[in-house]
Amino acid sequence: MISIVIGIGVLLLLAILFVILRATSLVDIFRSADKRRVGFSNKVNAFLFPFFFVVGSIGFIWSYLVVEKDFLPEAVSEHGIKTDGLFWLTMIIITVAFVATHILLFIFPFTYQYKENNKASFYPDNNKLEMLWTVIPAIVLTVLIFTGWRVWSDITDDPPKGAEEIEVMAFQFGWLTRYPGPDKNLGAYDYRLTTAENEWGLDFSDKASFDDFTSSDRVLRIPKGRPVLFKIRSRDVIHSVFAPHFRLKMDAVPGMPTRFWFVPTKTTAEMRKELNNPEFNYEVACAEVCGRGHFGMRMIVEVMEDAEYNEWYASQKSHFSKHPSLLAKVPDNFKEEAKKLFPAEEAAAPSSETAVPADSSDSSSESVKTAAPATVKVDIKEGQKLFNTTCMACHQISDQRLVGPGLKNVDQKRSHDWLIKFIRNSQALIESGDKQAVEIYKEFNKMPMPSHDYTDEQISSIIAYIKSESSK
Amino acid sequence: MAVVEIHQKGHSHEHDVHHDDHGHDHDHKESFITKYIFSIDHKMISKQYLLTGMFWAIIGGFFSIVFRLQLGFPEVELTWLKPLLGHWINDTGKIDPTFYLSLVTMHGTIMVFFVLTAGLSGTFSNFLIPLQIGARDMASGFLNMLSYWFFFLSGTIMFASLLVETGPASGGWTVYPPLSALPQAIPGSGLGMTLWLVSMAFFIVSTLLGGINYITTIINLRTKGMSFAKLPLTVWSFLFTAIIGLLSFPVLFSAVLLLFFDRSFGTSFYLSDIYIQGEALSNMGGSPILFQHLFWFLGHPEVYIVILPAFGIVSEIIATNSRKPIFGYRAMIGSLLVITVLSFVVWAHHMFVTGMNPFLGSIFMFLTLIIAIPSAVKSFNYITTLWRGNIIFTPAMLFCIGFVSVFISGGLTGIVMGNSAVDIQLHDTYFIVAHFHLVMGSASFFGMVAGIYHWYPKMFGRMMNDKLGYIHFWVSFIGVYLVFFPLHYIGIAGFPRRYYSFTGFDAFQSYTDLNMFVSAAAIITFGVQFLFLFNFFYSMFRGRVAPANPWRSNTLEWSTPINPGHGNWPGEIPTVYRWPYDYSKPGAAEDYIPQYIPYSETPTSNLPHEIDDVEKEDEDLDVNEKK
Repeated sequence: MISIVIGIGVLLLLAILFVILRATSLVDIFRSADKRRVGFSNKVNAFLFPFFFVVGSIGFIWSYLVVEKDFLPEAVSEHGIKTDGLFWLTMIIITVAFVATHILLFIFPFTYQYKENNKASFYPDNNKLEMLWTVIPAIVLTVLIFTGWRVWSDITDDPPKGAEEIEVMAFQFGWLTRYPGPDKNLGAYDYRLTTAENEWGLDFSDKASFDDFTSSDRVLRIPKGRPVLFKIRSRDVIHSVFAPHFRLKMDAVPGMPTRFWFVPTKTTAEMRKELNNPEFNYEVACAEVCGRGHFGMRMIVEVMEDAEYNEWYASQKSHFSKHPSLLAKVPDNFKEEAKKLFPAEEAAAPSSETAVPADSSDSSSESVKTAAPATVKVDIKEGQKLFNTTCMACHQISDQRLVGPGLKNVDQKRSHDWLIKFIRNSQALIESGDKQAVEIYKEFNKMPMPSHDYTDEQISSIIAYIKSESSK
Repeated sequence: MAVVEIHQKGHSHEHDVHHDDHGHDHDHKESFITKYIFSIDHKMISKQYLLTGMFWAIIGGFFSIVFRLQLGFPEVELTWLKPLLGHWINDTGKIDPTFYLSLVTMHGTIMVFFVLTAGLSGTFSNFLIPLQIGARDMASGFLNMLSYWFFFLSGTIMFASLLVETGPASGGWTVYPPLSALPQAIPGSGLGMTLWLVSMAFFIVSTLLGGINYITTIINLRTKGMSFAKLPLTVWSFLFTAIIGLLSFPVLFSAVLLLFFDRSFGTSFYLSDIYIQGEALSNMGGSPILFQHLFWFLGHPEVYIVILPAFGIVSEIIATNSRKPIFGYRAMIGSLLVITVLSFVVWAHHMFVTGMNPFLGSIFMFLTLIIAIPSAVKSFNYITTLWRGNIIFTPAMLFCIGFVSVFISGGLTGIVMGNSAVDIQLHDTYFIVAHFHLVMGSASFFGMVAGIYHWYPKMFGRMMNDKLGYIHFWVSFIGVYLVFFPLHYIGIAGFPRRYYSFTGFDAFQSYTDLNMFVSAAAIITFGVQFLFLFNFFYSMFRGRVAPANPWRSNTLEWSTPINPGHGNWPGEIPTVYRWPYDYSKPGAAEDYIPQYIPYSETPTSNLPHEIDDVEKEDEDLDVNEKK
């Protein structure tokens, strides 16, 4: 509101100014000042140019010193260090050019302002001069082009053999990761096979997809010091993977997989220590406008020590093994093989089940299995962490809708069980005809909420966190 | 004897082409409609373009203020905008995030196409080409009228799209599919986007009609003696602008048409492998990248369509008010030519990180950085024109110096972004926003305003108030730097563009103060434009009556009556003898010699090679006669 008042104030001021000016120009005419070729204003304007330059230069230096501390920390990828170097080299060159040209541009108006008895010099041409300022920029640019080429071709070169392959899939509005699993081979996919349990459209006629897994808490984990290859795709519109700390950006294009490989150089832990900020996280943002929730497409990236990473990698269960209902999608000739991936009692008759019971049986494979919220161990801190990595992109804990509804007091509006079901797999709940779920789905233009492979405990923690925030 | 006959010859020549009697008798009836609405007079059409452009500039500028409020003051309540924006302001008084995207989309579309293409080229090409080359009107006045009315129709449709319930187009001014193709993806891609496409199609028709006319007029209707080497740089720049438009706009048309097919007839030019809202679409085999190639094949030349006319205007005004010939006339034309050619082969630098073949990236980086050379030549030549001048600071001149400044500032950062390796980080951050708002936004806006101040006396026969002009300039000039300079910082810090809010990211938590500062500066800069509007309309009726040649300029338009009628010159069109930049010529009585003064009349100031010209003037005429 203040800004509007300021705006109106400025307008009023200008109106008053105008009245004064009108009066002065009338006075000028009476004094027949307009018969003279230039008035006093010419001197004022001539003076203002160098004055603007001096004040502007001070402002430039001062503002730079003020804002510089908030620039991104040093790049944490090998190529990023190079592109940063090139960036600052170019910035120095253009700053020199900027200052040099502006000194001339702003001094000349002062020096050569109109004087009654002066005559401008008739100086239409000088080939030598013009040659000079064609050749000098050409040389500088050649240097920049060649250094740029070298860096660019290194970055876009084929990834080294043995690079850690990870698929990053974008959708409205979030990211999904997929790791190739023990066989180090990402399985085939087809977008037409996409369902709520199979968000990647994994094609189970390709055995390589059986062991693919996703990072279940949605944090993208990568090892330090090894080449990492992102295989990037999109499921709906164009998005762009932007990891500012890694100086990494690549569009996610539906129908045209892209890639970007890089070598991370600092773990999250190292960075936290360096910045003295225990809360620090690497992030991925979306850099190509993709719709309402464009500004909320956040994914946390965690860089781990190699050994730590391998341990985590080995401990992950494949997506397939967590979703027995997917067995129905496996072609007959692989079925026997696929069944071996499940504990014996569950592989018995999963194919006839509908999605919702399948999901509740899903939690049976987890160590914690409780129905009533009272007996679930909740951890508000854990809930906050999960909320920030998963929900915050689309939801606020207020009455205000962002992409999805505001979640303030949601624990009072819906039953706990319903919330768990909806958060875990909203599409299944909608398909089962749940009235509340269908209503929300329609209210939000049929924008589905992605499913989340969380335990009851984790979801309860998130709800507990929302509850604690709602009462604040 | 010979001379007299030649005059007759020249006269009958005029008859052939221009229907000279137009110039002589003014007694044919003009109704209000034929004079002010469906006018075929280039001067009236130019004014129509100007006023329409100004109307759109206010809307486009207002949109930017609304989203700057959201960015600078995220907590501010905007309920007071509800009467205007309705349900786009939600119950808590905030802008709806989807409408935020509509605002940035429409701001871009309006400013680039309606203000800086139609408003700038449409106004000044129409106004200046016939007046400066010595023609009675455009080659086809009727096509020219159609051109304006197609623009008007296009604008009406775009305006209607602002009012539809699902909102106007909101996928960014570049309207990349699939976002722009699928109403499921964003509501603005429904009816709003359809109207956007239809509006653009008409806009393209308008631009092509205008462009053909400009080119034909410049080539065919130059007055006697007006060789290409004697054309003012304004006309050169309009010529190149029209050529660029003629070659590139049809490609946008094809892009728009195919997108229309994808949206309405189920084709898959740009669509493939899409699963949206629980449904797998049947489209396969299309490429969203194809659209980007087609779009930027226009989109990049478009920024030169926007800046070239400003180059021309600035060259003319700087030379006139420095009282010096423009430095390096040939180099100025040469650099315009090089820029024109290069503008067609750099488009993919907008696409370095789209997954396009990296080899293409290398080529386009090379070609992109080369453009810096002709641009540098132009900047240095402007500065050298000021050197040892006798500078008069009219408001137009101030805006021209401002133009050179913002053009340099914005142009230099282009060297950073043009480097594909560096662009990986900077692409689609605020750094690019800062870059193009300075180099094409502010620069061509300054060029346009300078043109208005400079040619206002010719357009309306009255002078604008120069004191108000000075205030307008200094506040605008300082304003654009305060708005766009800090955006570089925000970009270096990695902030992505088109974000409704930055609260979701740890990395983008800083700079709330800076964003507030930028928004405040934007509001003031926008506010001061109303001072200009006031000056513009007030002076139209109450301004000081203009003298015939208020800036003591050399070009032909100032040889017309103060309020030129239909046909521009009441008598014969003057013959041109010299280039337009004979300012402060040694030995001349005045510090300017208009183009229509023969060398034989200025014996004291003729240069050695021009002394021969005096004799040639006679010989040439002899040869002409014998033909």
